[in-house]
This record gives sequence, C-alpha cells and structure tokens, in this order.
Amino acid sequence: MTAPTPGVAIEAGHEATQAIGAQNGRQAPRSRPGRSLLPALIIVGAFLYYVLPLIATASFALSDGRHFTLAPLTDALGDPAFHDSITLSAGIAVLTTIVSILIVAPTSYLIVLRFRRIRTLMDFVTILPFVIPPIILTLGLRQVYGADSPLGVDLVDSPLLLVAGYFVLSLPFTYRAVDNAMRAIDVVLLTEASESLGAGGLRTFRSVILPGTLLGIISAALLCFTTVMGEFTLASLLGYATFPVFLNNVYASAPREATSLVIVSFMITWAGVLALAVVGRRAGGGTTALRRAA
Amino acid sequence: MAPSGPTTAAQPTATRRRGGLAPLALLPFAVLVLFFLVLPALSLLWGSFHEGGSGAVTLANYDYLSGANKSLHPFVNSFVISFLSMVSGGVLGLIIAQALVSSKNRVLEQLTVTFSSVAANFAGVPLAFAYVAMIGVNGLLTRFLIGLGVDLYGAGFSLYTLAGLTVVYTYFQVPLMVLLILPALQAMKREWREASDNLGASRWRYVRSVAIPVLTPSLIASLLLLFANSYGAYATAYALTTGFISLVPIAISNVIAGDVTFNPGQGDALAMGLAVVMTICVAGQAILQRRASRWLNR
Repeated sequence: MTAPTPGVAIEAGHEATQAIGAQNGRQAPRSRPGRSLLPALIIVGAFLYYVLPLIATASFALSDGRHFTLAPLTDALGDPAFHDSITLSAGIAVLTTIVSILIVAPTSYLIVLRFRRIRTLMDFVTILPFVIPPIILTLGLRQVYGADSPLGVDLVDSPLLLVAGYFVLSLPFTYRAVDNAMRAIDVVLLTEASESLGAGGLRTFRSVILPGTLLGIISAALLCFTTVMGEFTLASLLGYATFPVFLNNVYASAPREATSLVIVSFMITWAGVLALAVVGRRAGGGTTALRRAA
Repeated sequence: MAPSGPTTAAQPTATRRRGGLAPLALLPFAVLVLFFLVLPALSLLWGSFHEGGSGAVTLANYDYLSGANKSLHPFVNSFVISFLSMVSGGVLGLIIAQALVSSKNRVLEQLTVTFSSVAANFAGVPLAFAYVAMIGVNGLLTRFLIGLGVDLYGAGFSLYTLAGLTVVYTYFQVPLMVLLILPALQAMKREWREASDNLGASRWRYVRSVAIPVLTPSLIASLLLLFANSYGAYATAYALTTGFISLVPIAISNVIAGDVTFNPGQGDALAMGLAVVMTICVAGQAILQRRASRWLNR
C-alpha cells in the first residue's frame, strides 16, 4: 500500500494540524525543567532519524568519491531520458488530476444534494483502492485490458490505461477531500437559495458550490498530483518509464546520478506536503467562516 | 407590479426535483469505477477459481494455502516484515507522539507533523536508494559505525534481507504512526488526569485504568493500518532486492512478468489472498476507529 500512503499520511497530518489548532486555547501547566528534557531529546532524535537518510543520500551523490561535486546532479538533470521521464510523469499527473476533479467534484455534489441514499455505497467504493493495492490492480487491469482481453480491448499500450488506473488509485484521497468540503458547507441550502434566485444547475455549481469548496478541491488536486508523481508499481508493470521507474532503471549503471535524483524526488514530496499544509490551514479557517455564515 | 414574497413557482426545487438529467451526471464516475476497478477485481476473483487453459472450475489455484512446496512463503515473509515493522514503527511513533504532547510546544509540534508527512510519503524507490547510501555495504552510517568499532555487515546484518527490509519499512511506518496516533493522544482530556490525581491514583494507575483503556481502540486501529501499509508495499522491496525476497506483492509481480513458478490462475489466487489480508486490516481499522470516537470525540 505504499502508493496510497501519501494521502493517508497527509490527511492524517491535516487532522493533526487541526487538532493542534483546536487546542490553541488550552494553557500549558507549569512544568519543571527536568521533566521537559526527555520529550525534547526524543523529538531531536526523531528529526535526526528523519534526516539521516537524506544526509547520507547527499553525501554519496554529491561526491566523486573524495570531494564535493555537483557533477552527478547536473549530469542527471541534463540526461534527455530524465527529461522524458519527468515530462511523462508530469503529463500523466496533470491529466489524471484534471480528469479526477472534473469527475469527482460534480459526482460528490450530486451525491450530497440528490442521492444521499447511496452515500454509504460511495464511501465503500472510494475506500476499495485501499483493499486492492496497486499490485493487485495492475494484475487485474492487465487481464482485462491486456493482449488477450476478454472485452477485446487492448489498452496496455495506451497511457489512458495508466490515467484510468491512477484515477482509481487516488480516489480515496480525491473523493474524501472533495466530499469533506461538500459536507462543510450547506450544499442543499445554498443550492435552493441559488435556484430560487433563478440560477440553473450548472450556474449554481459554477458560481456557488465551486467557490465554496475550492480549497477542498485544490487539496484533492494536490493529493492526486503527488500520488501520481510518486507511483511506481502500475507504471513499471505496465511498461511506462515515468520518473520513479527511470530512477530505478538508471541506478544499476549510474548509482551516483540516480541517488542525486533522490534529492529531486524528495523536493517534489516536500513541495506537495507544504502546499497541502498551506491549503489545509486556509481551508480550516474558510470552512468555519462559511459554517458561521450559514 | 410590486414584488411580493416568494411565489410557489419560485419554490426551492433542488431536492424535490426527480428524474431529469442528474443521474446521467453520475455516469462518468460509475463507468470509470466499473471498468477500471470493479471489473479487474471480478476478473481476478473469477480467474482464481478457474483453470487456465480449459476454464474449468477449480480450487487448485488456492493450493498455496496448504503450505506445500513452500508455497505459503510469500505470505509468511510478508507477515513477518509487516508485523516487525508495525511493532518497531508503532512503538517509536507512539513515543515520539507522546513526547510531542508532553512538550506542549506548538511550533515543534507543527514542525514534526510536517516532517512526518514528508517522511511518511518518502517511500518506494527513492527511500530504497537513500537507505543504500546510509546503511548499504559502503553506506555513510555503516562506515561511521565501523569507525566506532561496530561492524554491521561483519555481524551478519544486510540491507538486502528480511531484516534489512524491515529497517527500511520502519522509516515510513514511524511517521505514519505519529500522524495516526497524535490526534488520539491530544484528545485525552487533562480533566481525566486531574480527576485521577484527586482520587489519589498513582501515575501508573492512571495509565493502566484510564489511558490504556481509552487509547486501545485507536492504538490497534493505527497498528492495523501500519500492518496493511507494509503488507501491500511493492516498490521499496523491489528496488532494494529486485525481487529476490519472496513477498506477496513481489510474487504477484513475478506472475505478471511471466515467471513460471506460479501460473496465471495461481497469480489471481495470490492476489485474492492479499486482498483478504488488506480487507481484514481496513475493516478492523474502520470498526475500531468508530469505537475509539466514543471517548475521543473532539
């Protein structure tokens, strides 16, 4: 379940952040200096534990065996195959994100507005990818859309199969993020108000619901994008040289170059998490404001 | 004409309107899920109960459950690595989360949560290579420890074994545990501690009679997610061992790559076995989480 982890972690991170926010008002009791030393030591240890593999990565990658050099990194970044892989990853990630948002946002809106009865079914369906990890999905997709497809549809050579697979794999994160945002505003009341003012369904969605849930939708988009950028299993076993697959392939012949790209991969992860934290914090404030207004 | 109150014609219609085009808008979602999630899953289920060539119904694909010919090995290995990394990640994560709660330092808390999110996401191929650079044969830490007189590889450790893989998995399990358990620890009310103190209970008595009972559902729920998290993991193990260690995801990928150890039907049966393990973990987690919210509702 390595691939779905990002969302779990990031979502849990959000909850944790919100919990911290909620505790804001509580006063810390007086603590004796001796007592607070142990937690501090543990936290320092945790940071060391998190950072050590990265220090090792940098010290191995950015050296020619003796001296510091940026050559492995610049070599790797200048490799046309790297460009191809990162372009492929970014392209598929952008496409998947657009498709996911275009489909998940209206679906979630309609479920909350008109089809509340199948909400439980939707919760079940969107948790399914946790039960069916990427490795199982890959096997299933290859059987249904492989060379001897029972449907007669051979899609293995089409990146669209990858996009469809990633749409499914990121569903637990995208749907949950959008659905939470839909539940945070009073969708029914807002829609009724908008329609009583004469707006049609599409106009209501575009001018009322979309702005009200925008931060949740951005969160969903970021989660989807980062999930796809880091996914290895599906791409590798369907034969696409995305960035993680390229990283793995290049290691055997050029370990220093590959290891220097680990730093790039790490920075992508950082960017995703930080962007999500920023959006999450603003969404926290935004939804309470809306709730108060409603 | 003077505007009057809302007329019946302008009554809210959103929730009352039936039929219309709305169900059609659900179609794209339904089609994608049906064709790229449900159908592949059903195909695996069907394939696991049918013979490859003839298509006859059979239970033979599930032979591995008998354990003959070391056929349960992938499941045993996956269990061992998931269990060990669940325990190590769970214990370390719990200690760190409790330290964060005790430190009562909000900035430090935010910082650690952010770092944990990054670390929990830093899995797969990049993590494998980072660990080779750290505790591989010539890794930074390996050489540092040799300088201190501790020879990891001389003592029989290797990154490319089940034990080594457990060490690597622990790296993403620790931050995941921090993120999962921190909200539960923060929801423990100070009043409970005070009430317990007022009644004359010792610190240990508080832990045993209040903290442990309240936290147990959350703890087990988090541990189940940790277990599932490593049971289904493929990329890290593959990048590190290129498929030499027999884990369930690796065995399934070997079937995809055309390995002859398992035939396609057996591959499907392996996938179903993995899905059953994941279902138990995810369902158990969901049930326990509901249980936990009884006390820990924020």
